[in-house]
Amino acid sequence: MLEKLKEKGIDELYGDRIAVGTSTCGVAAGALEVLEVLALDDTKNVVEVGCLGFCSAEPLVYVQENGKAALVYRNVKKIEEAKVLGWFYPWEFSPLKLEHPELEGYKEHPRLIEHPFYKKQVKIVLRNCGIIEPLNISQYVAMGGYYALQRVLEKEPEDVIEEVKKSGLRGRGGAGFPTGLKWEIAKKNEGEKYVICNADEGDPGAYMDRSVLEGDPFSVIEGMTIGAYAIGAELGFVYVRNEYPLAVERIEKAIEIAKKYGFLGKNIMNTEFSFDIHVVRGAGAFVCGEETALIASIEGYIGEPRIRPPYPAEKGLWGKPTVINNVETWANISPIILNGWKFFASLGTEKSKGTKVFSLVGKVKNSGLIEVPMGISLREVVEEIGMAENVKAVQTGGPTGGCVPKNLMDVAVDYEELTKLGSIMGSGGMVVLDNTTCMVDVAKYFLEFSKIESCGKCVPCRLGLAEMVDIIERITKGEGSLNDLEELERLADVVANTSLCGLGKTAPNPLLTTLRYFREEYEEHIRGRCPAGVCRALVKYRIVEDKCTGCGLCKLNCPAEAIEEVDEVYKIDDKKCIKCGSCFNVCKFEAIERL
Amino acid sequence: MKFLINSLLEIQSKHGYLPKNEMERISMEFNVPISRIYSIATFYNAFSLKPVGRHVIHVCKGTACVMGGSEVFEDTLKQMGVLDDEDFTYQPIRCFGACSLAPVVVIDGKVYGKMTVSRLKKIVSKLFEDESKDRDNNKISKGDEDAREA
Repeated sequence: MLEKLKEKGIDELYGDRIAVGTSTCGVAAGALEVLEVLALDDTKNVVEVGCLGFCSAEPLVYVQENGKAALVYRNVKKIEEAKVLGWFYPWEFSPLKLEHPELEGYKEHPRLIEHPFYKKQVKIVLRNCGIIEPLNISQYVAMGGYYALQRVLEKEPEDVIEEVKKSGLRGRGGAGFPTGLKWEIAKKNEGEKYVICNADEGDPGAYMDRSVLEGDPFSVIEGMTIGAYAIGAELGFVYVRNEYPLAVERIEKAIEIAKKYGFLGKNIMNTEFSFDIHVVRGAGAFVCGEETALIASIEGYIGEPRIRPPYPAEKGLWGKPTVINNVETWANISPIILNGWKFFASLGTEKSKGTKVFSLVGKVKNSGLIEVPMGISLREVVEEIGMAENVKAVQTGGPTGGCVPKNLMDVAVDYEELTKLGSIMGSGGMVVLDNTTCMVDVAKYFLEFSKIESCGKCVPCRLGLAEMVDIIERITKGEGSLNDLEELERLADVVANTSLCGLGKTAPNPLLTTLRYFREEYEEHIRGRCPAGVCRALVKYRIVEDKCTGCGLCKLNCPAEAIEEVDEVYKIDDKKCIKCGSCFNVCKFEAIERL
Repeated sequence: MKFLINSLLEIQSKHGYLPKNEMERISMEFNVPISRIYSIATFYNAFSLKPVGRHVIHVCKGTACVMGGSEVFEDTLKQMGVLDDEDFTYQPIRCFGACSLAPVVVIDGKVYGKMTVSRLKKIVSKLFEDESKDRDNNKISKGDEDAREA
């Protein structure tokens, strides 16, 4: 059956088509309007694909016609006017050996794999994203899909676990526990077992899981099916954020399609093995990304973590052995099986193997999802791929990660190396900060986030974080003292060491790293000055009459209606001004002064 | 297989909130005490116990959006008089996962990337206008009915 699907998929994938990236980010950039116009021409084969990763170039459209490779247009409003980004062969991003007809390249346009954004990338998890139509199972098979499952079903479960163990794959959700070992522990336990896909991607600034679910849902389903076979589970769950409606829809539909083709459900691929997957939606609680809280949520309780051990691999969902891995981890499984553990283990560092997907956002020129080999330096990612200038620090690891300052950016991206600097790998959010960012404000933002999202079970996390937010707020108002900094450090120590789950344990990271690397900024605030001009209580704005051209852009963008026109120039009413800095940011003539 | 939270989410999206009688029904259906339903309804952000307005505005407060200045949109909405009432519901949200388009505002399900204060003012004023037009129309049709009844 696979061969038949593959043939059909190859015809579709390498035939004439115009593909529009319609993941959430593409849609927000206007991809649906572009799609609508393109679809008017019914002589063309217009299809929807997932995300090619290059979000700042969205909407992305590529044209594949007359036996030629795919020509990508960037920031498309009208296709006739759009600029060419480059061209690529639809198979060249995948690490798998694929059968494909030859396509002709372009001489007059640059190759996509030579573009700074793509040059250093190695795509394993994102191999199909933006290439295949997400719910087209033939195209998934043509890209090597389900051959791994076929091979696995002929093997002993122990051999599958051994393969994953040897590959060195570690959990991509953040903690980095060896995946094969987790499977082995669950396998050893008796009785009914479950597998869970953690798609509760709550880290603000991270969206790789959404992109995989939207762009290549079968890769997650296949990975889970292989995991279920290896540990002996018959039931699996995908716990996905409710804030990702398109991802929910895609995974639900993909499950139905996989069942129809016999890749899921009873007697998978005509073997004795049966496995089914249910989708459970999250309800907007960050803490549910923690595995024991997630389990509680599926069971129909509030998302409060519980003490480990016992770990879920021993006693998980409804007290049964449960393997929980995140989306990215599951999407790694089938390439490991197909290409062998050696291929995977050859990438990365001694302890961190393979690749990691990051969402590179913030003050960068090229933003989007990137997949790079472990061990690459933070500097290469930020300056070469992101082409960022004037970097001040990079915030890694989501809201409970840390800020790595510019002078330490040569650090290798690796679980242990980042931890040494006080940050974490986390799920892969990477926010680049420049000189317009106030580090105290950043720490305040993350502490507030953790305070709100703390489930409240452990007293140090619930009360300690609240106290820390109070203190740091005082500092941003210029009312802090040097003793406050010591108090913050003391509280951070208590919260980190006495909380039960990862949230409380890591919540002080942003504070501790900014205190460690940017202490002078805290001290400046205590002296009553915010160097970046962000903290509202410490700044004032004034319009320089000589420079004001009277264009009125500041007035249009003032949220507080604090700007008035007086004799063709504009003036700020200090009583109404909320000091948000909107006018300062929009003025094209540098006519607004920050005092 | 039925899941308590999925069922509550369906009710939430059908009514825009969790009505008491529906919570009682779910309590019976799943055979769990109503207190647990209430604890879930107040723990998770997705649920609300009062009806949401006809227009729902979310400002993204994810890292990239806040660093991109999304906090000023909250000030803008406040200034424009967008309150939580039957017409409008304002809810900050933690990251839509469209970070490269930061700052992001979502109005009635439509995602607006690279939002500016002036654009937001325009969009919200339009909603205000539509609302007051609707109200006028209702008055007229109600007036007609009254006339007919008379």
